[in-house]
Amino acid sequence: MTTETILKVDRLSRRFGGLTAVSELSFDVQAGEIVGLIGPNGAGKSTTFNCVSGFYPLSDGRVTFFGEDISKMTTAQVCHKGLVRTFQHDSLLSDMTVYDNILIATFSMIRSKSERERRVHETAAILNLSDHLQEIAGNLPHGLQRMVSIAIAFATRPKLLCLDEPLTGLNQTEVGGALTIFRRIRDEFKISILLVEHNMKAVMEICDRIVVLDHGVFLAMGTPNEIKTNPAVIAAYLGKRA
Amino acid sequence: MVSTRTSIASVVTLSALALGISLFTGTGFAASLVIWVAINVLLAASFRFVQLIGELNFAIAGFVGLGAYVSGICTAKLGLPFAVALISAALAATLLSLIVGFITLRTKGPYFMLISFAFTEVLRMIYTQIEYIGGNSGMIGIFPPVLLTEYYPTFIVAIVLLLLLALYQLEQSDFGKVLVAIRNNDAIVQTVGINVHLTKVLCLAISSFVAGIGGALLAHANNVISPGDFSFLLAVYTLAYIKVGGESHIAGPILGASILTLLAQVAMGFGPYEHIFYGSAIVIAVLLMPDGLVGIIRKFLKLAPKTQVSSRH
Amino acid sequence: MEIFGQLFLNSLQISAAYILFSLGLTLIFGVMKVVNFAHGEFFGLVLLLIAIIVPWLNSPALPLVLNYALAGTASILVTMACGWFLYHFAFKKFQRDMVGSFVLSVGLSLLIQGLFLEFFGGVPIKLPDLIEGNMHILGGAITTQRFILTIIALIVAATMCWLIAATKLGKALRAVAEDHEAAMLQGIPYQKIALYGFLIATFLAAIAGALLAPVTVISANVGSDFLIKGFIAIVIGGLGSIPGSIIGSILIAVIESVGGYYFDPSLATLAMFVITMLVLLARPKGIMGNG
Repeated sequence: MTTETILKVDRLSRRFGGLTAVSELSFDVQAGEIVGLIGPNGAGKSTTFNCVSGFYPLSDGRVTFFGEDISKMTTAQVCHKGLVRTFQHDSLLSDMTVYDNILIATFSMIRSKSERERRVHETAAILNLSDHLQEIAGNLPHGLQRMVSIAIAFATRPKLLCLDEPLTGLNQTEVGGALTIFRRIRDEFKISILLVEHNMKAVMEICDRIVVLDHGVFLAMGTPNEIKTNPAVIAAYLGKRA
Repeated sequence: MVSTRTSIASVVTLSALALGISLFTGTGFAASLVIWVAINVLLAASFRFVQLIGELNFAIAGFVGLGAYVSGICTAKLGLPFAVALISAALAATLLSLIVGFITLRTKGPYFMLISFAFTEVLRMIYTQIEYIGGNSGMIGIFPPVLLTEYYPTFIVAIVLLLLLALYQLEQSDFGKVLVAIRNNDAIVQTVGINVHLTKVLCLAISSFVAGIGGALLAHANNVISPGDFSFLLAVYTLAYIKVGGESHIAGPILGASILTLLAQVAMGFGPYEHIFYGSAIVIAVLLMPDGLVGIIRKFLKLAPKTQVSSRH
Repeated sequence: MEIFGQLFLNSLQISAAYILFSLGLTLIFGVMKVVNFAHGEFFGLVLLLIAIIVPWLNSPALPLVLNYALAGTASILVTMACGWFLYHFAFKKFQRDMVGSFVLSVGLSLLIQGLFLEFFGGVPIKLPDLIEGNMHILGGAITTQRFILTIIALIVAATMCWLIAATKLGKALRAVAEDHEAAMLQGIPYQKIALYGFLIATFLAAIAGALLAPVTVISANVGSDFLIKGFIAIVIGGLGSIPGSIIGSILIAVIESVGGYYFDPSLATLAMFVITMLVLLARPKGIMGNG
């Protein structure tokens, strides 16, 4: 089975004024895998995410996507290359219907009206939102709102879906449902996923590989079993109150 | 819910009514009134269009002024046909808005408001310095073509109705949805591959196209224009029309501009209380009827309330 | 060298007024996240009241200084009452709503100026000089009263900055400005602090009016002239930043004095607007701004 490296982060550094948020971070994401990005609070996960997805410029290093350097691209350009992200807060268009939320995501990707409509319905079905299409997104319960924000990104049918703490505030049942959806996205749609998460149990369950950050620096990368037993990782988590 | 057929029927009826009234007003005071209402409605609709992306376009006076002056130059100075004057006004305003918008729409909220205000004032001062267009005293002799003089009110009403229809169609289209999405959360819109900045610039350009035409119609109606006509105050009055009428539907600026313009005439009968009138209109509207007349009508007809977004700045 | 001295003095006086204005605007914005376009009318109200009271109280038995002092105190108190009134019936409902509060304040500004025009008339008034004489400093000339009033204004501004930096009230104001929810969780009475912030800002505008009364030509829309400049100053400086508002005020003052000296005043205003646009384009959130 050949695997293709779709995302390569190469010695990424990001500084704000005098503060170094991320330093010389390197990792990769292969085709067809779910990679988790974890670390104690303040480890630099969100910053890394923002750099990879074109929200922040890099201070140093490179990000390549399918071999192409995307380090200097804007978020919109990066989307056209096949990389899309969700947000942790303020993650959807709260005054518009769920239908319109997903529809907006199809505009830059699809020309025909009927195609767009089909994509919206298909996306909603995967995210279990079909019954809520005409509701105003901001009025939905938290769990469904999270699904809407994932739907928006997923509707672009990216090659890499970057999810920023998608499981925050979900109860156990909802988490289970979400993980099933992630697996479907990976297996049926052949979309890779990079996710930042604090829910350790979920991360261990769903990720093929995990990257651990601490204080903006790479700590370890490996399968869930390897990470679980990695002494440096354990020390980092026990050392701070995660 | 009001059915689509009822809506279309009422719009057609009202438009026909407006056109009909304008045909009978001749060339006296009533005609002027119709003209003022129509132009104010147009400007209010133009201002409101930019509210779709969540910005208060205080630069509108600048584009109205440019349209007025360009059309004035075409007609009074160069003797060109009226149609040329109108089109030049629209194109000039649109072109300038593309340039200015590209630069200024990088800012948001109060910063954008200030830069728009500054732009308006700069333009106004430039007008006062140019002798060719009359400097501070302004330009005179801007008349509509002889054929139209009798029917100028009707002509204006017709143009305004057409432009309103165009603006409405745009708002209801997918483009309109993108604008509202940008107002909601422009980060998300960027994430899904849309160039938010260029979209905002296009929105401003459309609004300015309409404003430019408004300026040209205004110039030919008043026959005299001067830099002082196109100051911040114009934008504030336009804001008053929208606040009173309501922002959530294009009927808002139509209602607000019509009612306030007519009421202002009545108030003027008591003395020079223009500032007090418009100021009170805004304060009362903001404090007591935040959704404007449109909001009140919705409640009265028990229609679903439109959720109102306050700018995320 | 003399020109430099003159320009320095001119800038100093102009900046004193703008600093008082912009400190007030920044305070209101910081604590309530409100942009108060009608702020200038407090300044205008004080000036107009003084313009009415001073001639009314004028008599050989009353020393001019005392006259001004009484008029000033009375005007400031009346204006503070108006500020309290506006806070409770208007701005309180629009906290943290930048667009709504701005629109409301634009309406208020228009309404109030209309009322001023009605009651005061269109004829500008110049009040008698408080102190006679000129001074020469650094090669530039300035009337004695302008100099003294400028110094007082700067002292008031400095006191205000100290108050915000060092006192308990100041700390509470800053806490609310930074994160009002966290401040509430720490037990800071948010509504009270917001009111105090608004009243302090009103006071700053009012005292600016009292200090400028002897040296300004008073008319119905004098408030809005100052306000625009104060508004530009805080936006250039960065909304919500006190150092930013001071920098912005000084910048505006310098442009105005240099422009007014070498070119004519309207060109100076033009330059100010153009520079405003340039600054905002280079730094969309103002010089010291971070949202």
